[in-house]
Amino acid sequence: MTLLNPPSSDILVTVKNMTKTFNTGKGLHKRQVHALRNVSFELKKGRALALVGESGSGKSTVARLLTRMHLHNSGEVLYRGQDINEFNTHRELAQYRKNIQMIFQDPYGSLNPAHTIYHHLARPLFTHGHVKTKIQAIEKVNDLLRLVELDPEATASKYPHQLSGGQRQRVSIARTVAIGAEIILADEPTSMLDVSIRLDILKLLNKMKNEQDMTFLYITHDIATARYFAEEIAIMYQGQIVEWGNTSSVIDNPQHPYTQLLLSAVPNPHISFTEAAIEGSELLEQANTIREKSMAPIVETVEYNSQHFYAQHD
Amino acid sequence: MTTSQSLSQATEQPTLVIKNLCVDYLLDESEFRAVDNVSFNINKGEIFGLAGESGCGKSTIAFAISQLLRPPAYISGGEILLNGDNTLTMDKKTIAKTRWSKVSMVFQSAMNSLNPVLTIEEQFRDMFYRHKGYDETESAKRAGQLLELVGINPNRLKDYPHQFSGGMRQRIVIAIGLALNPDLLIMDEPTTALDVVVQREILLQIHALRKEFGFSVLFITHDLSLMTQLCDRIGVMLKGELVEVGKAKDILLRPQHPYTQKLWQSIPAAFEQNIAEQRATNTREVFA
Repeated sequence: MTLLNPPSSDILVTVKNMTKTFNTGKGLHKRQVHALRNVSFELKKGRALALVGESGSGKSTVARLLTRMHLHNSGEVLYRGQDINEFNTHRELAQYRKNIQMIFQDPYGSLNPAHTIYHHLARPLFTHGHVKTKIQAIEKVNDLLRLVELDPEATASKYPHQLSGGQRQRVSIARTVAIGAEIILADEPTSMLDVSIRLDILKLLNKMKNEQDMTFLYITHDIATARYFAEEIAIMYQGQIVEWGNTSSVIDNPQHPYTQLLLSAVPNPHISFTEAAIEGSELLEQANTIREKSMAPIVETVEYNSQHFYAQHD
Repeated sequence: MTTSQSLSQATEQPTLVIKNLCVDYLLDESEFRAVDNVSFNINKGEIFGLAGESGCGKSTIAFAISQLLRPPAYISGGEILLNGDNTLTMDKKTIAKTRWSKVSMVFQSAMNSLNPVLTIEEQFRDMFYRHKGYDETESAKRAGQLLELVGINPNRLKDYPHQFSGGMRQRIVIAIGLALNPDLLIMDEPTTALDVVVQREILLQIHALRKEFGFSVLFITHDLSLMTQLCDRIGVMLKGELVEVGKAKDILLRPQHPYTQKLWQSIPAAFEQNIAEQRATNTREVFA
């Protein structure tokens, strides 16, 4: 892939006013679902952007569009300055997909039960030409397993069902490294894992971010892990990004009503529900109003500080 | 284990009493003890939480209560008393009646437990017919009320499960669970797949509904923060054993068992500690 005008080398992916509409239903029930409306963000090298929102807010659609599993309707997605819609030949597309990889939520579903862990990791190594011989492959697979803190001797010959959820998620992570990805779209990578394992996986992702300079789009609905892992955060609601910026600034000083609603709902063990009942009922009453207001198209963005912005609606 | 168990229940009979419960799984040559000598009570109208990582036996207890364990799992000892009646000695017919009308259950993947080829109205119909003998119109009417209870517009009764979001499907399942006014609602990771706002809404509804209807809840989750907010008392399980039982506040502020302390440390915090406590103080001031 040739780069004519590499923009600032920091920014790997630029998304500008991305819009995606799905058509559903037939005949009289035909309707359009606006999954994404004018979504813009940037992914910077060696940093993580957390995309936070409720289910159905469009955060996974962003990942699908970035990997070109779907095509966006309008707007631009630039990878190192190049429009991804222009990758039309098989080779260009394969090259692009090599660089941008996904880790899925369900480690039980994303590995093939009929193949060993060695196979899962060696296959991308061969297809992408990272290794030529079996000896090289075995060595590389062992390196990869060590990287994700699994024991190579014990793990390589095992099948997915012989591993725990956390171990499987580690294999998925190793697989993205095997392919040689520089950008990882992690779609709820820890939400199906045990609490006691979640932090370990996040630590591993953090290590890869810091040591290997990998770039992450971290899709989650868990504010706590977003705070732990991502430098920047974008809050999505109904296909629009309503507030974005520096993670701690957004979490500690939320400006948009939906962000405030979201944050007030994050479990805080210091407030019991009995104590929060009054505040809670207010929240419930307001929730629908806030939702309705936040549904409206964004007309203006306001700068809270140089690294923290929020949207205003009609 | 029994030290901090509530002593204030002398007058009223607890909804659920579990005494020295043991559940074993038969393996090829040995047995695996999934639940080891567990005892706890759930009082009337109380929300009791069971915490622990997966595989520690918390779901097995939930299944044991409603007698849904399938071989190779079997209850090898102990007693389960529901309103004073031993469920382990009940005959099949009584158990079938007890399930759902006395004990209902919302499973972790509950939103996938709706039948994809039936409308929401039809999902209610079977249960109402079997337990109450309602006809179609009656069941639809009651189903509509229940949907409203969990915050779903009743005019969606004729829709199919795939037309609802995950959170809505989960609420529908909770509505089905509450349909017969059970004494005990068992919720096994009911909101794990949902986002926090929906989770808060659903749980506040449960919190309010149990005040209104007086049912007890056995709440199973691995989210300790959430559990501390919602539950009155919490039991922490480790490898089949109940290692600590206490009031939610004590589990939060004075965890005794090293495993409970470890569980707390494994959760990244959304807010800085001082901010979290500050908000708590503010709420209390508003409340007072």
